[in-house]
Amino acid sequence: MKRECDRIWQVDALREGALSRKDAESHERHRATCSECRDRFAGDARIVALGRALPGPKLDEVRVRRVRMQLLRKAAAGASSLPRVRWLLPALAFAAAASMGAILTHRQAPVAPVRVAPVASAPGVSAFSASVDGRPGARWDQKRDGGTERVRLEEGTIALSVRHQEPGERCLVDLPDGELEVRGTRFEVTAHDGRTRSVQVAEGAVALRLRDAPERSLAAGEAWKLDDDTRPPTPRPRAAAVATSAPAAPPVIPAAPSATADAVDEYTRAMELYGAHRWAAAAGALHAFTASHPDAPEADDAEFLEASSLAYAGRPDAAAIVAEHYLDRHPHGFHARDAAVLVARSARDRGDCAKARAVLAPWTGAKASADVTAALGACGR
Amino acid sequence: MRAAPAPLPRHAGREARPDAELLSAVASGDLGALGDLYDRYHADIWRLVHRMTDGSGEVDDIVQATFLALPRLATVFDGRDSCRAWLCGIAVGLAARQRRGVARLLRRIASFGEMTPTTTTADPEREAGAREELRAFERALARLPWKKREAFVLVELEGLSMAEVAHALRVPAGTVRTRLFHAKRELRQVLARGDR
Repeated sequence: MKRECDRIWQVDALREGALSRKDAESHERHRATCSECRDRFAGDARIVALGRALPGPKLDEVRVRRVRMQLLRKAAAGASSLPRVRWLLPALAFAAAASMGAILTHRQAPVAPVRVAPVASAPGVSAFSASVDGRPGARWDQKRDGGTERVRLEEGTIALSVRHQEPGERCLVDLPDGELEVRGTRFEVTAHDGRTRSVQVAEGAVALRLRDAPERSLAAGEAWKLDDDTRPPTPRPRAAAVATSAPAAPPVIPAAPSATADAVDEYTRAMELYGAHRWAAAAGALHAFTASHPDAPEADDAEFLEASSLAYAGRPDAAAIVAEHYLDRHPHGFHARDAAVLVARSARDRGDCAKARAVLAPWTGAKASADVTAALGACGR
Repeated sequence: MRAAPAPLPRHAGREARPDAELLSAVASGDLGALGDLYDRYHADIWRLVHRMTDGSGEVDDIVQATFLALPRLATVFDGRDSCRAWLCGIAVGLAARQRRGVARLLRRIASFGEMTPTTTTADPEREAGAREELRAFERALARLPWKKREAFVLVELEGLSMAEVAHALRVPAGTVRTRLFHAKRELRQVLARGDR
């Protein structure tokens, strides 16, 4: 396979004005002898020239003044939302008529809301990071060995509230047929007849590992049931994640044109926290943003940056779960590689080399970058 | 070095108030200041939205909504000399939302009636007169995923710096750089293949 010229990156750096004068001159001399750099430079110049040659809008004075007048009138009236698409109503009317039969024949059963009872603080368990509330008939026990805490559920339903795990700490729930790894969360789990029946997460995230099944991550607002085993986890209504006192997930606010300014405000605030390196607050704000505006264009950035914030905040396991969610939703996203690095680091640290290698597989090989190699660490050897 | 962007229309025969001062006035309800900002930047925003939406759809509405958002957002402006990049960020965000809303509705209608979503029709006059390569490029740009496209348009066509685009889109500069890299690679590949 032909190897790319080592100096090809300088083409972009030169266009950005990021090279010193000396380096720029050196690159220009190099380009005279390197067909690859020359082609790249010419190709970039060509597409930029074509882009600038595209016809622009036909702005006439009347159009400009009309929009200006409407703008000032609406601003005076206090309007702030994006005007609706003009053909929205006729289109919806058409859609409604066309869909009448489909609606009558394809009614879906309503999805039951996730309900999690408030978790009572159990007295006398302050040595534990998890507070466990066993429902009537539940059989469970709890023990801690060094940095590892284990709650063993034999039968019934328990609700847990687990504080954030410090570096080196782990909290696991042993299930009859697998285990749950917790990274600071509030959730409920039910086992019956030797099988895990359901998991409902109110806050944070858990990793569910059942025998003969791939690991799955469940985040705030998500639920898993044994009956769903062949289906992916329920869509992620993430609005509950930052709430610390509400017992159940609040309804998700759908994105709507009128929510545009709110979304911009929220994202701006979250990014200010991120820029100020207030990682925990940034993670919370980014999480809330994704929950409230799952369809916003910034949602995938927000989700990755939430993972990044958690990592900076010293919560690598939580970062890994959010990053894994990101990969589920955006397997080819811009941040996929970086998200995979976060997942791999966490897997490597808990000795799960198979997972670390699997998640980084698309980026490993002869040309693996330094961060990918570092994320694999001993798992890569 | 990057070529300078197309010249921008600026105040004619009138003392220019700094953008930050105008935005501060807008935040306190001064409609005159809002009109001044519109006069100063409407051509930039129109051109940007046109480039991002292929000139189709509701360009006027998005331009209007961009400025209409200012009374609410003016307080978060960081006070730098020009608010052009910041306005561009608002405009592409609104264009993205409008596009998503329209696309969603089209998909829904198509699923109900088993129709195929229609694409925008090009202006026949322009089609006929345009050179083949320019048309190919226009199609390639239209097919580019949104985020790559906004990076390409903002950096290469609007002439904003990486830092300005990063700030406007509220993403790290490295993300902008990556998007731009992929955008240019895809565009180069399309032109190299001679896709028509």
